[in-house]
Amino acid sequence: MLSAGERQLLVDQALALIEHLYVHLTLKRAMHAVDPLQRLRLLKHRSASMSEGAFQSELISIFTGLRDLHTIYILPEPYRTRVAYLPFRIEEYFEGDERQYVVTEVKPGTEDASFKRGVLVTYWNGTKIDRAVELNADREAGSNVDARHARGLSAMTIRPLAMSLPPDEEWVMVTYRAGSQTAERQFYWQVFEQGLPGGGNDPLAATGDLALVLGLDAKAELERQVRKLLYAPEAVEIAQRVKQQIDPVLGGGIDIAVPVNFAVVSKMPDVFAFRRVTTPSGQFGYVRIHTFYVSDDTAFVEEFVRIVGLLPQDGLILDVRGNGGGNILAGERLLQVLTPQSIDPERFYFINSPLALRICEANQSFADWRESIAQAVETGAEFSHGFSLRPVENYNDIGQKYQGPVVLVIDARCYSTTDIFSAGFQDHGIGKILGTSGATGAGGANVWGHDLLLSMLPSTDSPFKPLPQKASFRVAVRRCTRVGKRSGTLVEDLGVVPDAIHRMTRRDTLNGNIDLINQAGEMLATMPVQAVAAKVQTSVPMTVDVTTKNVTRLDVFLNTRPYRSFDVVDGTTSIDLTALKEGSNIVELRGFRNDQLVAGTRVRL
Amino acid sequence: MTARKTPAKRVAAKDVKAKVPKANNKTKMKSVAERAAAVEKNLGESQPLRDFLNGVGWR
Repeated sequence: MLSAGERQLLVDQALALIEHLYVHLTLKRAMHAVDPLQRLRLLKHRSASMSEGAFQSELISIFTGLRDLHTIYILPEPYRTRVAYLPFRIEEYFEGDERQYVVTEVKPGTEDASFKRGVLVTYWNGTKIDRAVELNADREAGSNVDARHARGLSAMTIRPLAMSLPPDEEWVMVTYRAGSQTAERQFYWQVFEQGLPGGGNDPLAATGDLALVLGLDAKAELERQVRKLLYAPEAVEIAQRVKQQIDPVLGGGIDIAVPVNFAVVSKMPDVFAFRRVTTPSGQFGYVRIHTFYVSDDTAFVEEFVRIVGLLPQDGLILDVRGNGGGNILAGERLLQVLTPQSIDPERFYFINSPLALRICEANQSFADWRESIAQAVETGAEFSHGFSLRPVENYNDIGQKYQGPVVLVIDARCYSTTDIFSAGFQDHGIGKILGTSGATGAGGANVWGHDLLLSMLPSTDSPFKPLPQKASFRVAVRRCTRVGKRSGTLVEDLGVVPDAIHRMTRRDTLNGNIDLINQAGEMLATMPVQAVAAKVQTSVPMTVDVTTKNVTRLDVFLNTRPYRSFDVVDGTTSIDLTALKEGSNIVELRGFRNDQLVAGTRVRL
Repeated sequence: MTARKTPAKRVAAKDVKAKVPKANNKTKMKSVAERAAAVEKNLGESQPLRDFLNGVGWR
């Protein structure tokens, strides 16, 4: 339990963060009619007379009221590492306009002859299930209606106590329909201590460079990891086997009788899953990106490139549903491998405040932002100028690796880095977006932890003080805006709107998203396929044989300078390279159709 | 007179089921009991929510 002094400290630190650094404060006040500062002041005034539960609940509620999954209060131990759960998962699908709630996972050993995968939940403690989800959604922080509903549904059976109010009820009476029979079963909420046996990183403990470029819904990432522990022991085992195979010392001594086949399993199995899918519209590649929460964004992009190289090149379904984000650089740098266009990364802005200026003055990494924040005293501007997180070259250093058409699949649980990735996908015209919700979760910011801020300003006059018992806060410090045709549009609270909607079917929820994949396949079949492939011939002079498909013009650049241009038809064109310089050279090939750049590749010599 | 070849039966695209192979990153476990044991091992010890909240003085 926290002492009275520790409670005061927590509230003071929350006030400092929200009042002086929180970049969305004005937006949230306007959009959700909230006054977190006054609520914090009242809590500080009343906290001494409150019970532990009442204090924690109010502090959680103040942060939840911001409708911002980035900006959170992380409770101290023992809540921090505990997760409450019921031993099953509910997902929804539509019959006409009516939502149905189906049990899609049951913790092994919990099933019985009646309660099993596929039963429909109709009542929850005597309340109609739709209303129960709605009530739960009100306690969640999603920033639009779809996001709140999705979060409410997820929290029906999993509550990370680090960030969530514990359930009021100790047990749940579930009324369900199995075929024509209606039955009831009682389930008690259980609590366990979250570890990481399934691989992945602790979403509450981002460190190093990752802490600076974090764009993550930590609760969604925790829930994802918990679901893996509860329902997918095979996935946990494969993660351990991959770890052992790649690094036997760190892998923990699992005996590998049969090596993992990386032609069908990702080297990052917690991050990627992939396969070929055969639909009525053709055979395509399917890649699920479960999370962007990786410490090494380059390794992430390289593994994606390896995976798509194993899949059909005539169309890719890229499924990021449920992805709560992670490393913003991983999301933004991935865009380049799917398009021949240059990537224009999103711009990030601090709020103009003396504290933001102090942080930027203390850290060379934020030098770009300093001047405009310092000018604010004269300009009266609310936000700094916007800059990308890294120099633009960092987002274009690899180039296109997958040239076929791409359909991106999103839902309302996509958040932060996944929002930013989806926005970049749309803003660069990479492909079409298919949504199972009306928008993504709408988290548009870079989020920092209290521990990071403490390390940035460690002096005794710092506004940041160490927090008790591993309690912490996270706050959105740099908001982002979109580029291209939607330049300047906020991602926060608006999200990314898909080109088409797919309402989940019962077959989707119980049979591998079959109808969803079919619809994505239909979309892919309407999109043009093109290719520009290069093969180097080590003759003298050196030549490159370029095979083109569905492009009419080929431009060649040698070491970034224009070199040749050809009108082409499908087939192979040989290009002599007579102007190579000593050392390494880069040949870049750009394929056009109707004067539109549609495919590109680079060859390093 | 040669018999007329019966045209291949056309199947409407919407009636064709997508073939979605099972996820590749799965290993086979033998029984429900084996899966249940693996989950319990991964989770560690669980306790009722009531006991946890009473233990931390929540209420």
